[in-house]
Amino acid sequence: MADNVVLKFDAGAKAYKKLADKRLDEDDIEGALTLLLEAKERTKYVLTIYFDIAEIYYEMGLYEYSLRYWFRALDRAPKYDLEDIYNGIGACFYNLGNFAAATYYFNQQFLVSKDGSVFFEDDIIDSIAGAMSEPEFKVVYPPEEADYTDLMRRAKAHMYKGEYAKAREIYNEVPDGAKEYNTAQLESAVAAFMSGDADEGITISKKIFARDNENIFAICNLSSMYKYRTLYMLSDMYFSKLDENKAKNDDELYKIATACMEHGKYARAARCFEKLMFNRPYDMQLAFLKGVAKYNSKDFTAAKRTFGRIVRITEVNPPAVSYFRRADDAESNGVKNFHPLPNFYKPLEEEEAEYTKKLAALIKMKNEKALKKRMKEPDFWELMDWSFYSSDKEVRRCACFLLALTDSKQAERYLLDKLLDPALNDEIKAYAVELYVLNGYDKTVGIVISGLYKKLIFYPIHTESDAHGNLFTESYALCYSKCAMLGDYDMRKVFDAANTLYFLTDGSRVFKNAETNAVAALIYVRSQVDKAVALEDASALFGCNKETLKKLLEETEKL
Amino acid sequence: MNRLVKTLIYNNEMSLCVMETTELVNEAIEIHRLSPLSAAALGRVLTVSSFMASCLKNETDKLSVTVVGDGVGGNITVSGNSALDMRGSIDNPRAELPLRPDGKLDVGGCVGKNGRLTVVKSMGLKEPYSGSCRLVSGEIAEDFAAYYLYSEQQPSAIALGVKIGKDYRCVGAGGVVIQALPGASEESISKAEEAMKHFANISTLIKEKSIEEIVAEYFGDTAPLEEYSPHYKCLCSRDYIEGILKTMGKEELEDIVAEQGKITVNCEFCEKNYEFTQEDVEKMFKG
Repeated sequence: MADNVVLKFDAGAKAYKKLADKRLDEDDIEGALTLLLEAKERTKYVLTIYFDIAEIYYEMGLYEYSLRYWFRALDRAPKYDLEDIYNGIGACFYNLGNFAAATYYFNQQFLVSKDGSVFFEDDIIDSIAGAMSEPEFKVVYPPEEADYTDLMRRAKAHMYKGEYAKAREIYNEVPDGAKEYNTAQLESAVAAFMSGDADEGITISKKIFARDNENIFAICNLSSMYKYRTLYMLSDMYFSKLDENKAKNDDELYKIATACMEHGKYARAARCFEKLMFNRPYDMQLAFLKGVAKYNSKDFTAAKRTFGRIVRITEVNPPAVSYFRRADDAESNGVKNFHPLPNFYKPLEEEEAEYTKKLAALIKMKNEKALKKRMKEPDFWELMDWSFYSSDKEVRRCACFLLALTDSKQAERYLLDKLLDPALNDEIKAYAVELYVLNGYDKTVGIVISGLYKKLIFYPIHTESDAHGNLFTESYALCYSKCAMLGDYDMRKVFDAANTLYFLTDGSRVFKNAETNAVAALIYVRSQVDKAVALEDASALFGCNKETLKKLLEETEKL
Repeated sequence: MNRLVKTLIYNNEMSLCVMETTELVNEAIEIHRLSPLSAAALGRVLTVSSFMASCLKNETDKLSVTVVGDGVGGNITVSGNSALDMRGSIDNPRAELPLRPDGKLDVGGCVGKNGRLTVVKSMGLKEPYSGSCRLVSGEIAEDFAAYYLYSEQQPSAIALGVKIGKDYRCVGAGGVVIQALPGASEESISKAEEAMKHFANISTLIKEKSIEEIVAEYFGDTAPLEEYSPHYKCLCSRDYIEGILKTMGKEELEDIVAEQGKITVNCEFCEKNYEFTQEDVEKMFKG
């Protein structure tokens, strides 16, 4: 920790910090967090408070919230604190499965560390391999046999983006006999259903149910799809087969819980969510659903307690704040015409009308200067928060677009916070990513966001800790993140190209002074992920000189 | 004549109700001078509410159904009791919309997709039972099926239909309701859902065949049939209206008479008008 930094506290913040430290000694991390968040409000930027908050969130497993504070610390920390910060960020990304970003930040840590002994790339690779179980170890390195895990993840990424036809195409590549086959088929059924073909979804799900009549996923699919088709007797028949005591893992229990919510069995759903939260006490998505289930079963006191806890822990959470107010109102005044809350956040009609009016006024502001001035008003960010959590896709996109227009650091930081917010859906994150690309981003952001929703496998290359190794580590990371965002490419080709080039060009004088952007562009061209790409386009994409790229290409062709 | 027939099917694992309500709908058309669209919407609600009323146990039990939607027809209200005295009204009795692409009346457009269905049953308990759910499609059958599932925990399959002729009279109206009894087998439920596919045009079927023929053709052997006769009957009376007016207080009634010359009350279910003069008001509060 930064013990040697001179801290300036005001009396209030100091008192809160002291209490927070006491709570930490008593292992009350939730209590400590509440106090530290309060301390942060009572003083100007104090590094140690940000570090404490980031570490508590890390311990809770709320890696996105931890990242929020690590990035804030990164903005203002002195050089000698960067090592800790990069390590914190890397560890968070590692736990989120974004190995591209993790490797990048661990490498950054290595570059700023004094003795280079903290984390070396081989150590990272060993950690990843060691952490994975035997069957999954294969996917860390380019596997020799067919990789269905990667296929499943690619398909899922298309599902997140609403590209259901593409997702189905990929799911159908998983052959019968593979252990992922049933799940792939059931996901394909969901994709069919989501694209409007409920009957096809039912047919596929029934096929899997016939093979395995205890398959929870199949049963939940049929219960849900028949309900959508208003064939309620069949829906209820499948629903009645579900037994949470027979759930083999958290995924199955979660599916049963959401089926209970669909069928209006809220008390039962709340019990399932409570059971899930026993192992994941800080999973705020589960907490939110539990709160909704409690409210809908008219246990307003418990609902208020649950939403209140979410607000205390996550700091900024408009859905939880809104639902907390409703539960509080219901508890105090009763509810005349009770309507259940939906699982997703839906603001009250009057709130929606007010915010829509304000957003419309903002859109009419075509002047960037006027918009930036408006950003200084306190209700602007409240309006942004509401917009990002709106169930209306156009509202979400409007807000995102407005922020990207302003080209301000504050807006960029806000967008990054949203990208790191697990409560936000992947569709708006994907849109924000597109805007980042259009606006021109730096490679830091590129790596951060490349794995956020696509959840790609990252194949690390082995490099020595010298200038050539560093050049290739950075160039590969840049190329990887660009490709990850721009297309549905076979990332193994990018790995192969980078790996081959690294060894081929070791000792080459041409590469001694090469720039990261140019080498990244070279990897891209040589990987042939986009066979039609012209040199001119590749150089524009990576922001390097076309002639430099041409020269590097000619040099590598001689080798 | 209106008929409502109930029985058990598929080894007594499912309950079946088949209804013919052509006359009921025609009464409503005559009283409210309904357009075909409004007649179809109100007619469907009257039909399924008749089924609900037939499930009331006690003589004094009453039922009220309200469909509040954002469609052109406005709200639909139906009341009934265990004697199957049914009555109903629709906010906009002359609603019109273009026909659907399949040539059918756009009942979903008349009722609206956004709104709620509320059922209140007065069964002699301390408080009336009240259940409510969001509308599913506004086509009425699906909305009531959803109501039964969510509010009464009773999964049901419902088909409703009202066919209007060129003279704007109802030529066929009816419905089918199937409900799974506790312990119903998968086989029976699947058979029931399969059978329901035949009732997409229940109004035409009702026009062409008797209830007994329909039951025999589509369900085979059944338990003995129980029969009921729903009918359109408004229970309003001058005494009843007087009772409601008295709750407003003498002063307020006198104010209305002073302003308008008389008090006119219109019954929304039968369109009957009741008039009260100053003399009538004084008689109300005498003694």
